[in-house]
Amino acid sequence: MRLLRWRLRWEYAKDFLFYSMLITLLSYFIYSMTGIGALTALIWFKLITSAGGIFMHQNRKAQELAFYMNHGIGKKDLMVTAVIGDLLLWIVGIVVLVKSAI
Amino acid sequence: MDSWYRSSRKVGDMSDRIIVDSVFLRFRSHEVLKGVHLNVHPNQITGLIGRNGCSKSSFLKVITGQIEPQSKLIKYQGRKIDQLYKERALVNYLPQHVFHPKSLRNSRLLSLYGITAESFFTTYPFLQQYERTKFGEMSGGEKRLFEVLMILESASRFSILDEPFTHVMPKHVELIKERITALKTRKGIVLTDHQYDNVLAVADSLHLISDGTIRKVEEREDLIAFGYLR
Repeated sequence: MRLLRWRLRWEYAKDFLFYSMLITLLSYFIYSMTGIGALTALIWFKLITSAGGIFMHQNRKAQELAFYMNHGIGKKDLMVTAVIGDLLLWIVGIVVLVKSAI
Repeated sequence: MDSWYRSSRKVGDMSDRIIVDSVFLRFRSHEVLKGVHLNVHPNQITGLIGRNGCSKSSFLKVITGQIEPQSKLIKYQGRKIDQLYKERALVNYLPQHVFHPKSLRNSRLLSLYGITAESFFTTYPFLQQYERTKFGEMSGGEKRLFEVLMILESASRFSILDEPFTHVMPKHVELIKERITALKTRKGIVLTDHQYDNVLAVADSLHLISDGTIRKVEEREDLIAFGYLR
């Protein structure tokens, strides 16, 4: 049952995570070109694009919400999972880049 | 309207019902539900009717947790429940629009609802051709019929259906009515639709939402008195 819920969360979030992965890769590229000086700007860039992305994703998927709720997963759960997955990936990548530069 | 609905006094096991009480819902300054209550009994079909914009759908969304009202009390088996959708296999909900992800195959959707493809397609052989089809690849009417039947056949204790007869051809409306009647032996069903004669044909109890309140309907004259029929 727990595995099923994770698969459904993935089903909901996958389009958003694909979009956010592009932003993440762009962030890594900008960081590798500019170095630590751009980190604050990159954090804001990531936060703003993620907020915009999740807002658009939520509107696009609004009609499907009842499907996920029929399987015990609410709107907040879906959103939080998608955003945490996105930000974790971004943070891990940036930390690896920062450490490798030191 | 030739036949009046067959109001039933049999309500099954009283402890197994869902009690929805004190629902107050306001959108900005507009109060749309003013203390609405409803008892949803197992093995019974509860019909909800009302004019356009009387907040039938909003009420169903409150029950299923899609809208958070200013106030509500939901109890099941004597236990207060905040969100019905979190209770495993208790309630599933059919909204009035197509709502399944387009990318999932129908066989996958059936298994998610705990329905074996074999039993589903034995009951509905004309849908067998769509077993491996992605949900989004069917026509609008086929999608609607497929999801109505999935929700009905699922293993949940109750099903809440918002306009199950809409966007479905007459032959399939008859099929849905037959299945609703047959499946009430294993679940309680709440049903609303503007095709009110179809609601009357299957409902064991009927309620009218009007002016933010809910009234039990016993006879046709009630609908005239409440301003639903002329």
